[in-house]
Amino acid sequence: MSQAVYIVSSIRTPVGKAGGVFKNVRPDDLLGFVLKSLLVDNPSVDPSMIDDVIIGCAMPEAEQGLNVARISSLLANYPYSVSGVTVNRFCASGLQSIAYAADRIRLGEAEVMVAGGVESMSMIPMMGHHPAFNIKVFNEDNIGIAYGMGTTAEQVVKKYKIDRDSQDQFAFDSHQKAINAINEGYFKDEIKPYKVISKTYDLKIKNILEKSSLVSQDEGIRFDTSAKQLSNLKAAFHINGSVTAGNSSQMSDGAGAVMLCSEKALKLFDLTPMARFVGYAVSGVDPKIMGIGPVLAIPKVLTQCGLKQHEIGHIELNEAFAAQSLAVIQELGLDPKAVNPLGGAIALGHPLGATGSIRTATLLHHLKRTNTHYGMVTMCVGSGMGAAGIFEAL
Amino acid sequence: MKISHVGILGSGVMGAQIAAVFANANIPTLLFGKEAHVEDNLNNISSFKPKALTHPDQQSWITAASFENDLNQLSSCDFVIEAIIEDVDAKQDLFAKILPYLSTNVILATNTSSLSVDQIGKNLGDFQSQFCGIHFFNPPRYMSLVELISTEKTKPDLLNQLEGFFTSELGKNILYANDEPGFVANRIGVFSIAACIHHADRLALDFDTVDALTGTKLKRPKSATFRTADLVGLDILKHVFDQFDQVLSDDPWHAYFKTPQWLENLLKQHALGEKTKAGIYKKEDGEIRVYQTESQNYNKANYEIEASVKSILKTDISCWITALRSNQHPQSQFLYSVIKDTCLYGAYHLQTIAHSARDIDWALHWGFGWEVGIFELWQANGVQASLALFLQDDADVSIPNWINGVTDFYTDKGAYSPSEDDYTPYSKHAVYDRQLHRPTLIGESKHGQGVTIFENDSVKFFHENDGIAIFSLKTKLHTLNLEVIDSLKQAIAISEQEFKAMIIWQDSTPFCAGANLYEIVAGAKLGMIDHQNLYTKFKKKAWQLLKPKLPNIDNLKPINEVIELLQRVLMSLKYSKIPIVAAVEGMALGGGCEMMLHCDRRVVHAESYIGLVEIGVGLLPAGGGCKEMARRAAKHKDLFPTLAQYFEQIGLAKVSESAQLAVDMGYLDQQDVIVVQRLELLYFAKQQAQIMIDEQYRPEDASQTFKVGGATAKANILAQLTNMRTGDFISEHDDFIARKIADVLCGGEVDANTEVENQYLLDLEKNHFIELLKLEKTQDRIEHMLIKHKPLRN
Repeated sequence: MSQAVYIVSSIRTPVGKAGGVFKNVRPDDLLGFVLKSLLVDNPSVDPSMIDDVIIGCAMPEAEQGLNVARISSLLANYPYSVSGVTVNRFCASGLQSIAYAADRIRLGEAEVMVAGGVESMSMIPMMGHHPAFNIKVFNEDNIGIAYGMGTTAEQVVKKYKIDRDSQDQFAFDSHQKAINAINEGYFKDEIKPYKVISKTYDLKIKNILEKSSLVSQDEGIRFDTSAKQLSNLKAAFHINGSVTAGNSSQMSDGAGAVMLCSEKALKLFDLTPMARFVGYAVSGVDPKIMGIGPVLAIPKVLTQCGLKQHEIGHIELNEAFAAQSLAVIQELGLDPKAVNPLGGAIALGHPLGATGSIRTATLLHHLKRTNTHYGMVTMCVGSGMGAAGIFEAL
Repeated sequence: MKISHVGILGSGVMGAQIAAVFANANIPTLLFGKEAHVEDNLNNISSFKPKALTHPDQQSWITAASFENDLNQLSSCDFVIEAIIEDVDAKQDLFAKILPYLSTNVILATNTSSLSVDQIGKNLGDFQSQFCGIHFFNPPRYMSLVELISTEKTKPDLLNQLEGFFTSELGKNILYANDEPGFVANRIGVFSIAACIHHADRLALDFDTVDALTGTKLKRPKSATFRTADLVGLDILKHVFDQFDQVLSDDPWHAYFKTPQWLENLLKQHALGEKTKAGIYKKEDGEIRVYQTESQNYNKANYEIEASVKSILKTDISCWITALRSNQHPQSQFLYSVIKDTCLYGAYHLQTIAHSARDIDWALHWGFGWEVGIFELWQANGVQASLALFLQDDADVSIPNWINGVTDFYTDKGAYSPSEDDYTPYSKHAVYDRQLHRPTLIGESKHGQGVTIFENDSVKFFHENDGIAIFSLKTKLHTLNLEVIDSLKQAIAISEQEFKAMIIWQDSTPFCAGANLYEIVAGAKLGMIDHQNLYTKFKKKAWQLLKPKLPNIDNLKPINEVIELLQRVLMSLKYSKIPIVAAVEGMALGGGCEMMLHCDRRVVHAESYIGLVEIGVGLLPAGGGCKEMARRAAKHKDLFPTLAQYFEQIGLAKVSESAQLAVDMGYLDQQDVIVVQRLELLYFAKQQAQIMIDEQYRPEDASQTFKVGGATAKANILAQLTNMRTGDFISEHDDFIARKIADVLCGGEVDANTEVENQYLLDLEKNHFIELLKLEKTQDRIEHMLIKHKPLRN
């Protein structure tokens, strides 16, 4: 007999472009800020009642290494007694952390959990600072592991016959939907503006120059892009390919986190839940076509939860590439209108391990806003996986 | 006086590129432009093609300044060059504006290709004695010729000072020119173009035919006449024609400077040459097309060079004039007429425009890339004999009086100077003391010969009584053939016994374009890759019948033995008892790069193009090139990033675009010396050799091991290759070769950071080389390179 899991807060930082507004902001600071904000938003919660902090990160090394979950918790002044663990399922890390946290509560072994995700692609490149492939990958025909994400997207294009125009249109729509969402102020509730303080030596004044600026909006959206501009970009991963920098997700920096509670904790701290965690599933596919992962994960989680696809009114499908997003929509017959109504990673950015938590925030706030019952966060995952989680708005 | 701060006035194409020349020499330079464009001007410097900067970092020597606000900064400049538009009034106005800001000792110059320097500087007052004209050729980084022009007021030692500075610090070749239209080089060079236009029209020859006749066959650049015109810009050519037409009304050849109608038509269509992607030539559908004067369309090039003309041009130049004259084919008559006119034109104007015959000939060598100047050619054919022929054809032609008494333009005493009516020796300027083998023209006595130790068809090994032996290649493009490798082995052995150091130096560019591919592919085709016995007379005959274009083959050895020999010899360069210095300029490619890498030190001309490019011919570096780069990467604590960079360089056949960039690529190290003036290479090589002798040079320990990246490093590279191949960015064969390169660079699939020795990697190189050479696709690549002179992607 498992107990219900409620989400009382789901927040995030704005998402910066790699090399952009957060290029000198450490990911453990970004995460620490989000963790702290959770406590600020929920003053009735006794922090020492948090059982564990589970954080997803896709390249957990250097500035986001050494168990960033624990480090950021301490930086956020969580009590020593609150432990922390970092998990890695690449792009699903920030959703996986929520699922693991929910499971602790479902089992009845925790009453309050914090889960989230963080990634600075400005500081830690894709594949990390020190890639080290296993030679067996090449000698034993596991070559898909060596495929770059863009290469897998071209494989999806080939296999699922996705044309260039559809990809560019999808990318264009992503930006337009994101622009609309910004204009409507849809992201205001989920984003916690981050104050960037820079300290540099100024050659003109011959002294240290301290500057601060408040970042409150996602940086990646191109307000002036056009379908024409997108169609002029060169294919990046195949000489005659169709996957371009414009119809792929952006490299980004950001963090997001949720606070999860049992029913007991809700009563104890007098909390109003925004959603209920319903279920989560992952599945593996051929690494060569990793982008297709959600095609297996989505039906799997629906079956688990006893729900039908049409019952999910809002799907946050991570736009790793327009090509794989279109292939997933096509293969499962998803309702395009239900997918990413506020834009996706092509416009909003994709800070790998943080994305799951960030898009959960977007989903939960928008479910409430639109009175939609069920929502889903789903994504494809490097080396060939798909993940999907279902939430119910309350 | 040391020139320490330079100001360039005008940030257009010439001004910005001239600023880059100074920046490349680490000289702080102020680049003045209009306030509105100051920042753009600075950014544009990095976008010139071909590149103006030898390294992106050099841009930091340039500071942008504005005419409107920053003229007061001119007071810090000790050398100011005006390089704005070619307009006397504009130039005069600018000088008037800047005079109040100049420091009293400043050297002032105007950069112009066509205007009167005297006119430009006439209002400079007291500054006139510190003023002169400079004519940089475009693009200034790559063109070595700089003409200096004094006025009557210029103080005598000013040009002398600039000659030293430009020669040694900027690496330029200096000529003094009189203040005459076009100075020396353009006056004669542009006349030659005019003469080609005139006679092509008279004899109804097409542009492409003229270019085929006046290019390399005539010992001139491949761009010949009209392709050169496209490169220069047809608008600029017309501008010069108009100017000559205007100011040279007394010139007996004045009529030649009339702009032809077809040129007017092209300009009307805004076909200005290379810069507008259409001129006399145009690239359409990947194919070069040539302009047709009558239809005003572009057609496919369709020339044929008459066999008899071709064979004349293959004979020694001393036969050209008589033979071309007596052949009645229009192509032959064309060449004869152009040569005759240009010779006579140069002779007629020599006294007015220059000091001696040498000035004109060097101007053509340095400014137009001719291998033979007009007076060299004329003298080789007999000065009086040729003159008699010229006069037979054209009794009324204008000739200077002095020519009747002259039997030679060049003698042991020097070059003929009509104003002295004597032979004038080379300048004794101290800057030339460093040019140990200063080049001379045909007919002049050579500077510095040395004492020959041994010499054969492929090499010359000599010394100059200073204990340092010099090894020089004589092969085409200084390629490495079997004889070179054998000779090098012998030279090292002799040097170790009898000399204190050895230098590998060539008396002309390049350093070395690589291994002799002909020997390699011939060996492969004859089955002599790893066995002698597969070679049969039948095979030899069959192959020669098939490939008549390739030269004769004899004395071939099985390739595996050649590779082993090459590796042994290059290793002994590195581990011999004496210091060995490579003096590098121009290309050091493939085997040439490997030879350089194995020397103890490199003295390198700033314009050196270095790379391991073997993949272009389907092979990998097997003369220790991979081994050397793996060793160099091993010096880094985390070797993989460096190894990945080296792999990419070899895998993509990247060539450095300057010596400085070769440092970034790991082909040169911090101890190596970059030299700005190529003629000073041997001087600096000897200096470095002497330093190493004085430091009691000892070779490295040849048995010293080094770590390799092993299986993980190789897997990382294979991951990159997998994506490139899957994305069709590289061919299957490229992928195959690149995997072999990765295998050697990483030391195979051993544990990461395994210690290995030299021979292990050398054997890997050899084995992969042999395996690749057996593949048809590799053999096709080599043959394609030999026949078409460009790489085949298969």
